[in-house]
Amino acid sequence: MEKAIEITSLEFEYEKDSKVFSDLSLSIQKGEYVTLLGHNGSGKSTLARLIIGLLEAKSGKIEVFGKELNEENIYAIRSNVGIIFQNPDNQFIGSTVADDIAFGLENHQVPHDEMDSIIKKYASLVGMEDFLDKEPTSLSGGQKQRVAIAGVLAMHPSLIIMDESTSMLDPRGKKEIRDVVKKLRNENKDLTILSITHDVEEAFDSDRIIVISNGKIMFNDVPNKIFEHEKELLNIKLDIPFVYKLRNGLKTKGIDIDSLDEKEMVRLLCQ
Amino acid sequence: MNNITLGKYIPYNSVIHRMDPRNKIISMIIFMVLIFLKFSSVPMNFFIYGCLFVVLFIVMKIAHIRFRMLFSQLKALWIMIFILLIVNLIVPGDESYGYFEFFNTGWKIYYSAIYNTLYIIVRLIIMLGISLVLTATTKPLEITNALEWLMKPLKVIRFPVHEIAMTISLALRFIPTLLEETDRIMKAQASRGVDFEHGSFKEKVRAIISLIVPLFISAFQRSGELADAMEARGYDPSAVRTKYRVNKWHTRDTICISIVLILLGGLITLSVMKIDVVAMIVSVVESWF
Amino acid sequence: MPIKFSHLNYVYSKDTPLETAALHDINLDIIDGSFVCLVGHTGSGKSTLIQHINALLTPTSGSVDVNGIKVMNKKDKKGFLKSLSKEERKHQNIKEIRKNVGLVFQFPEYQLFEETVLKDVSFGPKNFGFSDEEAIKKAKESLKLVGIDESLYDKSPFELSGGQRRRVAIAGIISLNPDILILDEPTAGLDPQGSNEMMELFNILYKNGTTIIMVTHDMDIVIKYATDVIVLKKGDIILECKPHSLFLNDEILKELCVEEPKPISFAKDLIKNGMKISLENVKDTDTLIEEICKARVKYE
Repeated sequence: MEKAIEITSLEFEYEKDSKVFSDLSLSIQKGEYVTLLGHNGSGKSTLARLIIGLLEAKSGKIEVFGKELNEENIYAIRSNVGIIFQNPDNQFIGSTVADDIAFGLENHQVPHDEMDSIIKKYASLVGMEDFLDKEPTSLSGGQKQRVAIAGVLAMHPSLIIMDESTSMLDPRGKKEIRDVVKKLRNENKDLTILSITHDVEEAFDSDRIIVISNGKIMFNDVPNKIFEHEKELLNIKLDIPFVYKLRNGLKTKGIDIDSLDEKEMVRLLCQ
Repeated sequence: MNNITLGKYIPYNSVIHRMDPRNKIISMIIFMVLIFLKFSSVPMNFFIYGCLFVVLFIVMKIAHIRFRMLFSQLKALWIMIFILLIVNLIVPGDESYGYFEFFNTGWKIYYSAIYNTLYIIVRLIIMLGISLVLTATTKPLEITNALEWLMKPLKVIRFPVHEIAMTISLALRFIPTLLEETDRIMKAQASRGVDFEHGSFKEKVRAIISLIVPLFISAFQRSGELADAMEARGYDPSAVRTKYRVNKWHTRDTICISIVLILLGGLITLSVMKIDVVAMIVSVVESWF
Repeated sequence: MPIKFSHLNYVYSKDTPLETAALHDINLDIIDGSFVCLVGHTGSGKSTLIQHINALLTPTSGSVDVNGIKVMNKKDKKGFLKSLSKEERKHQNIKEIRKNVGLVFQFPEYQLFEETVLKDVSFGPKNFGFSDEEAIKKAKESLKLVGIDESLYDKSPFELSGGQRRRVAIAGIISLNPDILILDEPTAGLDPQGSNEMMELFNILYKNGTTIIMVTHDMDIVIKYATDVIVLKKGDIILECKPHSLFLNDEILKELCVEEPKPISFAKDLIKNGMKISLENVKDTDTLIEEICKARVKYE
């Protein structure tokens, strides 16, 4: 199986002697949907910036689809990796929706004649085809993030990094983005998604969760197993999904419900 | 705060709006040259200005620009024009046009002073009008793009044409965002008791600081994030890029620029050959009677 | 300090391209000691509504009455002042409203500007005429309340983490001891624990008698803390109710694009299947567990 990301003994610091990562290693398979879960300031967004070479590691190795990240490869890697940042306003580069989607195409020297059809295709993929001439000030946060996704998709990346892309959105915006991601997953099984978040319910959707705290990987497992570690997760300022909380809480009161399915739990409780 | 309109672009779909911005910029420059040509006599000068006025009037009509807009722009210039007139009246002028005495006070008022002031007023109005036509019918971004194209030759002397154009277009993109931000910070500080309108000088300085510091910090943060987003999407200022917004030159542009060039040629001929059309008309009319 | 909106209309000046949300004929009473949550989509008029309460916006027509002080447009206010005696007129001071109504904007960490944390928090009290010592005292009290350690008082606010900066900014408003505290999405972008701590802080203020008005999208917050809920849509109040009745209204939930909080939907399922628990008591997972235990004891 091809590896999408392979990080070995990564070391990084913003300032001298305050290490964000001292020895971090992790790998993500092609086609996987992985969530990087951590509280604010845990270093998870730093990791995203390291993977696309916006920050430079002090030591260690980062490989993206087998290519080592270095000055030579950086543009090749970036053309294969798309990233959606947190703030919808600060990543809207073009003056209109169409211009913004075109920005990446211009950088990759896509001929002018092909641009229009590409822009239309990806705008309609995220449901923004009727807004091509709209300026960012007239769009909602969710719409701007969808444009950012279209801009990224237009470059056919094999890996998409969502760096807290929904944290500044309202419920409607969050739902819009989640739906788009689901659609992408269904349409392209080879697409690798790395989602960075502190929203546990969102993390529940993914294939695998990597919990990160103080620059160290605490857990790395499928969602069902991760949330068994209630105490540890609460200790590092995270939450656990409702069903786990309920089951564990009932257990301390002497009510043992051996299920994590809401319907089954209701049935067992009402017996 | 929300009332500031930038570039004063007025969205219509007139022929002028649809023209290639490069054509509009070149034509504007030529028109600006025209109004500085000097002709053989004073009546001739005013006659040509009159003709240019008519052209401007027609262009504005086609572009749906109301004359009121032009005069509202002139408002700020009245004081300047007045000072100019005073200076021209005091400084001794060209005697060849003659003069008259100001109510027997011995103060000579030269006709040339009055003419010169009038020339400047007329030129100002035409210049303002013609640049109004450009900004009202062309989006700021289109102007930037056209300028980038027109300045291409400067790349030979390593003038950073592309970088400047990109900077301008990003600035244009973020002005509305920063205006919103300014509004929000002003309100946030107002709810902490800052009074932006009243108060002593010292209080006003504090009020401004409480606005400027957060605004700058947020602008810096935005620019950092924007740079990240641009880099992540493969932007490299030194690399070759294709362009999505390409200016398209249509027949209407060829026609427009031809008319402007003919006008330029004609007027230069009149000016250089010192042909006084007004005098000719006058003599023709006189010969009829 | 009761608040009363009467026939308030707000229209953004028509010639601007930014014309978005407006308010139509808002009539609303907010009584002392309530914890009101305002919900609705971005652009539904929530922010416009709250900015009227401390006179950052003035209504196009109609008025907001905050403890007898009227927020009106210039023309209406002139007429209103004429009808008052000289003594009463003195009371009609907008600064008085701003002193008693604290408004915390979204992402308030962006309003910090002083060299030190302490100076920034005491900025508000100083503006409202407190002496330097008093202002510092108030600042220290409120910093303690929001949980900022004394060792940070002399640091630049820009050296702090995002979460700490937000606390400092909120302390800057709390230091005015407002009777009414308005908050625009105070937990946006915080991690679960940060968000919980923040809410507990507001709950303490609420218990101490401060009226809280909060814009939020988080239904878990609504069910746990709110006494009243106001739902806005395109500038109209479409629903005014108690939190629990909001979650009986499927249509509104769908309109808001939110799901009911998990403990509520679970409790509803339990009731449907015959367990006798009272939905009003369920506010979060812990209270749900308590209710289940109670019901089981009764049953056995």
